[in-house]
Amino acid sequence: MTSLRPFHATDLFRVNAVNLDVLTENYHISFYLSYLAQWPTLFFSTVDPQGEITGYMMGKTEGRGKEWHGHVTCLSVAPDYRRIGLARTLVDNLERRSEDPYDAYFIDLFVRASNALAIGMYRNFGYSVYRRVVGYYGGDDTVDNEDAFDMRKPLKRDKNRESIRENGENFRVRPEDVYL
Amino acid sequence: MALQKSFPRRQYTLWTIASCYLLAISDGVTPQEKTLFSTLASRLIPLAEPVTTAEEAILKARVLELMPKSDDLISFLYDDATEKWNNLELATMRLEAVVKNERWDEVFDTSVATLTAENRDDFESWKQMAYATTKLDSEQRTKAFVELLEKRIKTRNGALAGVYYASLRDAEETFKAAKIYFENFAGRQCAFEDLRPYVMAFDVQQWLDFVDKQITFSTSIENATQSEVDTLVNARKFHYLLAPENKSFVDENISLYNKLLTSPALQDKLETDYFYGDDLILMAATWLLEGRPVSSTVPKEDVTVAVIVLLETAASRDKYQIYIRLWLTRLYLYMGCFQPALGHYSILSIKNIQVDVLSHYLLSRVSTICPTWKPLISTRDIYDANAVQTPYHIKKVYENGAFSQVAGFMEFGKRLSDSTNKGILCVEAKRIARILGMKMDGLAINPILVSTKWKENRDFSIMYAITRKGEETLETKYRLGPNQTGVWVNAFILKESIIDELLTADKRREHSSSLKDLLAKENLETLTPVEKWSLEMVLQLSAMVDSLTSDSVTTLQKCFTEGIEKFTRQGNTSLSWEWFHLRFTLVETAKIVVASLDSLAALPGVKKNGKVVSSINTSKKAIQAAVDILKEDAKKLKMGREKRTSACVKRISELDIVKNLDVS
Repeated sequence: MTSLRPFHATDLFRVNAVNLDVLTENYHISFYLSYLAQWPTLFFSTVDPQGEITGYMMGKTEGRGKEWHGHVTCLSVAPDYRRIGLARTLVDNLERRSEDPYDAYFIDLFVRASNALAIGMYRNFGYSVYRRVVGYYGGDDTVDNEDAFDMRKPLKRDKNRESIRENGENFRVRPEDVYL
Repeated sequence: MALQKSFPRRQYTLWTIASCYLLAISDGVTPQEKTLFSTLASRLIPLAEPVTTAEEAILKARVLELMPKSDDLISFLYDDATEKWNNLELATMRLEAVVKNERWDEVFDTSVATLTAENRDDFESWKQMAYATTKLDSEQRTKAFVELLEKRIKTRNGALAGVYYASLRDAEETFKAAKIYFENFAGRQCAFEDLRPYVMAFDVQQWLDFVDKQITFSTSIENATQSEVDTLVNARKFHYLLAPENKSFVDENISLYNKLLTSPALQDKLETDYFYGDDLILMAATWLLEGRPVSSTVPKEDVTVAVIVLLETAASRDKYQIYIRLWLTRLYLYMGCFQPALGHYSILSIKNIQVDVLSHYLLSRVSTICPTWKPLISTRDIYDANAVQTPYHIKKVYENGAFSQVAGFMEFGKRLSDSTNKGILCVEAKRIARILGMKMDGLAINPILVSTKWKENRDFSIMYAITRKGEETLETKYRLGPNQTGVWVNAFILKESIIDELLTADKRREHSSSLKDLLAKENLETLTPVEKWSLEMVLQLSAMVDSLTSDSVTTLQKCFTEGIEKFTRQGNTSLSWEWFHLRFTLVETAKIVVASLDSLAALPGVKKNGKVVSSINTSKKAIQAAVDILKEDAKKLKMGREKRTSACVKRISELDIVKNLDVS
């Protein structure tokens, strides 16, 4: 049973089933609070009928002109609630909110080039690789330097689908070239 | 408000409204003040109209929620101008408002709109629509609901809405609906939790027969796909919940787990993925911990070790299985084995806000289980960060006009600031410093004062268990002593304050009388017996200092050494958390008494009194002698460890459940 709920600061005490997962980052509280203070509409969760949080999405908007877009900062689903479409629900809602009220051209996200599972999932959602950011994941002494794929999906405002391209896997850029 | 009056900008008016709202919902105001602030907020709203953002609309709605009559709120939420914001929080409030006011037609229509026009598959809307259908009892509405349900029966929310709707009407219908759900979703891990609220009312054998029939393997169990594993595990979970007398349960689960070891679901998974088959071992483990019947007996003294063997075996194949790691952390601590517990806890990589919520799994009573400072080092960061970051971001919320967040930020800040866990960690840091004889300035969490407002943020429910409603949880059963509540924190803060007074020859005794009051009036179930004794000893010490004679010193010393003898005679002789807790508490209390006596003896007025000084010296020797005996006994126990371990290993390895486990 999935209900979507807006995320509030006190929900940070209740995301353990999600955040104990090894691949889910636990950020400093200032990171979460800054997102809630700037993009409250783009931070929301899925809950079960008892109100337990089963997944959440942290999103934001950024960019200028035709680069104005929504961004998936963090999408995570509790292990017991995977493979039932929660990720899709969360991404769909981000897309909706990025269109209205933010009127963005596209949505994008960064994913490790080796993460075939996530890449496959986003492709199913209609995303494609826009570019390869060489050495994006680096500077961490527990993880090897790794490329990221910048994956994108055009929204209604991008009528000519200018925000995406073919064969983005071969279009290499450096991290400093990416709009942050 | 002053800003708004001096500079009547719209932004300041909105800030004033937000602040009045916060005051109206705050704990620290009287009912009259609540009415005053909510009325003030509502009267200011027209000055800020029309609303220009969804956040302003939310603020207005929150203020209207405080009003005695809800018509204005509902009108506002249903107004086209409000609906055009297409905002999730407003949509949630809309449904909540009509449900609360039992306006079932609007509940029904709002839910239909969400599920169809907005195409948002929201279970809360399904649930309220189902409930409204039964309340309205209208043929037309019922037909519309049933039609929608039938169209969406293959979706998870739709199928579960069917179960919920049936549960409002008829047990037989509920059973049928649950069967439809399980036929479609048995191969998803969530299936058990989704149906759990309903199955207790079913005919047990019928339901178990049905779920067992859903277990199929396209080739063999040894080649089970993920979906097939999930169905199997879900079925076993229902057996766990509904058939607690099955003696073969543990053996069956271990056998099934062994067969799944070659399955693609385990072999092909990434290291960071979960293998749902681990739940078979987790179920076997919790079955044993609960003391449920088994086909071949496990002696009570060996249950914990046997369960650890099961869990360690599973952990070796699934490194990041959090529930296994949490149970291993707990069970090792339960046996008094801190280092292995630390190892498993470290894999969970608990940090930042999780420290407040989850660090208790390692650090509960750590000062008297294994006084060690390293795990405590980083725990203060979250509380320091809260003191600086949260107020900064509250300011940002106001500046950005993110009014939907303002109450949550305030509550978040308060809950972390007044966190029970924070209080516990502060006390534990001081006690560890005392026991280890070191300065812990870097760990001090300040300020720490007695409070009536300790906030419980700790998560006790994350531990794996399949508990029936009303039963004591396994987490409680295997906790290291009674839950440390705000009373515990206050008692130990007062104890530390009294110790500070004693060591600095401070003549104030307000903390002693506060601790006396606490011990007399509060519920002391939060304390272990030796903790209570330690607090009473400190009070006695404080009283002795006030009426210092050689006799009072001797009386204190006798009381102390008798206490040591009493506690060491009782209780476990084998190693366990209680064994360590008892002895470290006794040693800690001894250090407090000796340090206080030293401090006393150094006072000019006392130095001149030969009798008192002699009494102090004799008492110190007697206390030290008692502590030396404690340490000598501990050493003997430690020396005998290898022999005891060999005996334990021999017994454990002969247990059927261990012999049957595939450890290759």
